[in-house]
Amino acid sequence: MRDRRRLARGLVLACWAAFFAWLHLSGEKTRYLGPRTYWVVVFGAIVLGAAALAHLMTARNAPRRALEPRDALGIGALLVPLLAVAAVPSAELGALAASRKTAGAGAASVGAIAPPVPTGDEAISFAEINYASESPEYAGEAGIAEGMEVELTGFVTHPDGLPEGTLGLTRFHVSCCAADAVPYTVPLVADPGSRSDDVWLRVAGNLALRDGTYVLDPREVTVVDAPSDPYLY
Amino acid sequence: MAIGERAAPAARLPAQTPGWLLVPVAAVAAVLLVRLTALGGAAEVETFVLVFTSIVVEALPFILLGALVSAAIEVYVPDRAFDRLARLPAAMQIPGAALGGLAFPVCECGSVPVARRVIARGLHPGAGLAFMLAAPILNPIVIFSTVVAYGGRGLALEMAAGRIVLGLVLAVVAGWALGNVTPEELLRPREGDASCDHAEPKRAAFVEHLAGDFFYMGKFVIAGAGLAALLQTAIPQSLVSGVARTPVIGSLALMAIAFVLSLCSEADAFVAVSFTPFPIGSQLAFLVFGPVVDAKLAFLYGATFRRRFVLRLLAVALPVTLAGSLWFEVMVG
Repeated sequence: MRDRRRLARGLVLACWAAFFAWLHLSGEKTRYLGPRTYWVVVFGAIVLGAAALAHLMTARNAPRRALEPRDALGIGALLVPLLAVAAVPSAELGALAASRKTAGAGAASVGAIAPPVPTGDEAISFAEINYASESPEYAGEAGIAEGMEVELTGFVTHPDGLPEGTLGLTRFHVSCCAADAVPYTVPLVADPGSRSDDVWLRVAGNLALRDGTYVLDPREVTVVDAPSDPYLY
Repeated sequence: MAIGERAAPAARLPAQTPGWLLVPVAAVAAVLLVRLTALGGAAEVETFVLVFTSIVVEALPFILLGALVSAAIEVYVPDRAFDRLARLPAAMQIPGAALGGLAFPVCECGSVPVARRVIARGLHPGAGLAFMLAAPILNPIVIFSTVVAYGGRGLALEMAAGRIVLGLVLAVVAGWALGNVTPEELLRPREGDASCDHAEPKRAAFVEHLAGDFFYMGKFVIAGAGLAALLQTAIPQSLVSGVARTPVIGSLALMAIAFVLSLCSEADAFVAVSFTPFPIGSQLAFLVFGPVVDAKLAFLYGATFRRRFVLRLLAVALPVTLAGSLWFEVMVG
């Protein structure tokens, strides 16, 4: 190859195209993105792949050019995120991220985006229960009331502001990517010291009202693995 | 002579080779260290890596899209088209370019290389800046996501209208205030600009410009994403919730959060609406300020424009956004 800078750029573009293709084929895109931006993975794989091909094919006939150290560092900098993924391939947002992303006065008020009123077979989940605590009108429309049976899967958190005798069962809502994740927490009736942060639980039980907040009174609690798709959308 | 020509590269090799090798070796060692120790399982490391990677994964295709448009402008749009536009008075160019943002559906990462290119080709610098600042706020996808996010609060139209109006005002004011200079005074020179070979076939030139912009902008987006991820991991947002109800301080606090989070403007409305303790005017400040100045953009602007551009932009964006958010609070809140 005569143009080594073009060759290096082509190889880095090919690495990114391969990474995007892997994200798409393995389903790992759900770890980083929400459904609204899944298209960028396919777009990135195709266009970066085409750019890589164009670079590699033209590098042979281009005028001779060396790869200067400064160029190499600049081009190599684009590999840093790929190295980060290689170092921590199963990164998850957990209790620490939930504590950092909590801007409201109390955990139960965070993420108070009014979700659509569930219809038909749609299950009541974190967003609906969370918002029902904010709005009795919404609770009425959604049919959320004390005694209602629900089943939730989430991870354990211990945020401030929960009703006494509860710990948090939390799940993140993602719009575009993990950077915009918003935590939804439903208080779970349990000894707060009985569970560690970030343990994933599937909880079946009934809703109860404590200090105006809906809490989940468990009937059955099962420790489970983190789901392959950890977010709510 | 011929011997000297062959000998010169060989003589340089021993001095350069060790430095070259250290970087990839250190990178592989760092990956192994994190994987083989408990470091990779630390909550702070996982949060940082996930936020950092997700910002980059989401932003790079937009950088690529911006680089595609920028390269097409450079290679395929003839000089006479820019000459005609450049002859228009600034009073038409600047608001016209800001309104052009309505039709360019990319986030802030994509609009920067395009703005740089049109300024370099002769458009009034203020018009390029107005387009760059307006596009991430005004584009149809952003407005649609704002309507969806605030639909549940019954404020969809008010919030979308507030975002459009304040975004337009900010883009035009910043274009006027910061763009009254020559392109040379505004843009940071780049090596690729000087080495542009106009004798190259158009397709090859397009690929070269595309890659040049992508690699140049990409490394700064990565640096900015690293800073944003670090801030998101280290600083709890609850630090500012105590001042939420104070109008001026609340708006300034949400602008600071917008800077730290570095969200894509197509998603930020879903985060803004969750800041329920803050007044609606402060939430508008978050939605207008974030796409104009954030941690990731600060790096990108630093790479694109000359020194102190970010500070000068802050000097315009802060008071305009603050005044607009207070006005919105009075009218709608």
